[in-house]
Amino acid sequence: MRRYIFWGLFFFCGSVQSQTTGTMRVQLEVVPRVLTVSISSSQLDFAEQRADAGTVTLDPATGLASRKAGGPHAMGEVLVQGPAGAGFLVSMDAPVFLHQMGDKDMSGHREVRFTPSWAQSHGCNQGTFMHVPATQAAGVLGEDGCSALRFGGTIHLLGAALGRYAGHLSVRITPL
Amino acid sequence: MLRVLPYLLVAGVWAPRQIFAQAALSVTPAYAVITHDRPYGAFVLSNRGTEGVEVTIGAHHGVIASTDSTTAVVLGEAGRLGDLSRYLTFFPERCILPAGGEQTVRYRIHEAPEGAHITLLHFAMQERGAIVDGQIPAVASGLRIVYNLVAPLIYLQGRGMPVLSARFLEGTPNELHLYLENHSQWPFLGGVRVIQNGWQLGGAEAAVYTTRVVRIPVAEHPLRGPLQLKFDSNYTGLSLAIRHQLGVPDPIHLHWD
Repeated sequence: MRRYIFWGLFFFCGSVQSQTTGTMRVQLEVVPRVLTVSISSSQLDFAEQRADAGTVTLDPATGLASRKAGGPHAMGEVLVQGPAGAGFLVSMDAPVFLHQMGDKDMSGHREVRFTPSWAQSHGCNQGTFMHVPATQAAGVLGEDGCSALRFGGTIHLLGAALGRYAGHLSVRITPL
Repeated sequence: MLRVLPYLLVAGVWAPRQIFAQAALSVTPAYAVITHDRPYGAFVLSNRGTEGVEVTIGAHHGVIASTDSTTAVVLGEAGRLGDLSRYLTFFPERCILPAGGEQTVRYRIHEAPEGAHITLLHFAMQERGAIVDGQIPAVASGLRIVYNLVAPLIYLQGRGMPVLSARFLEGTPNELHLYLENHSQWPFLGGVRVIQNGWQLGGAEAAVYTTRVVRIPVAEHPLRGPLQLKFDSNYTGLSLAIRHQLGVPDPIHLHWD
C-alpha cells in the first residue's frame, strides 16, 4: 500500500513539476541605474578668518585649508552608490556669493565671492581624493559601486567688511 | 587577545566610511518617459540611511547636454523640446523621510501640445537639524550645501522621429568620442553602434535631447576610411511601448581620418 502511495505521489509531483516548467514565463525587467546619495556633511565652513586674509581655499583633495583659521573648518561630503562602473554627473552653480548676515538689502557691497571645487575618490574604501578641475563633470563609481565626493572651494576676502557671511551651494547629481 | 588584535586592526583600517548617522536618498526610476496614453506616473523616494532627511521636490526646464569638452545639466533651455514643468503637477512638493522610510511622489501631465517636453525633477536633500544660516558662528563664512538628485521626466504627445547629426571628437585606443546633435523636437534614447566594413567596432547607449558626447568603447581602433553609425531603440529601462513611439534615426555615414 505504501509503495502505491509513494509512486502515486511521485507521478503526481512529477506531473505538476513538468506542467509548471512548461507554462512558466520568465519576465526580465532591466531597470535603469539608480543612484543612492548619502550625505556625510552638508556644511562648508571656513571658520573665522582675518579680514585681510585674501584668498582662502578649502582644498577638497587634501581636506586642508590654505590658511590657519580660528576654529575647525568643514567641507561637504557625500557618498554616491550604485552599480559598479556606473556614470554620474555632478553640476554646481558657480560662482556663489555669500551675503553678510543682517544685510537685508543685499546691496552687493557686503558679499564674499565663493568659487566651489570638488574632488572624487574612486571607491569608498580608500582615502585618496582626486581634484576635478571643473564645476560640471562626469564621475564613475568604483568597483565597489561607490564614490565619495568632497566639496570645498575658495573665498576671496579682499575688501570684505567684518561680519558673518552665509550662503548656499546647490549641487546636482544625475545618473548617466 | 593577541591573536585577535591583528583582525581588530584590519577591521579598523577597512571600516567603511559610513560610520556616522547619515541620510541616504535614492530615487526610482532614474528617469521616466511617459506618453499621452498614460500621462501620469510616480517616483519613489527611499531613505536607506540612518538619519532622517527632508526632501523638497522641484521641476525645472532643462536638459543634460554636452559641449565638446563637458557634459552638464543645463537649466532654462532644452533646444526644441518643450517645457514640461508648465503642464506638470505633482504631490507632495516636500516630505520628510525618516530612516528607512519611503515616499511616493505622483505626477500628472495636463494637456500639453504636440511634441516632446522635458523637465528635470530636482529632489533636494536637507539634513534634518542641519546647520542653518543663523547658527553659523560669528565672524565666519559658511555655506549650506543642498544636494539635489536630478531625474529627467520626458513626456511625448504624439509620435516623432529624432534627427541626428554626428562628428567624431577624438579617439583613444579604447574609446571613440562621438558628438551627437539632435535637430528635432523628439529626443533620442537608444543604442549607437559604430560599424566599419560590416564589423561592429563598438556600441553604447545614449540619451540625446539636444547635444551629447557619447564615449563608445571599442575593441580595436577604426581604420582610415568610411564608418557608419547605426541606431536602435535599446535603452535600459525604456518600455517597449515607448520604444515603438520614439522612432529610430537613419544611419549616419562618417569618415575616419
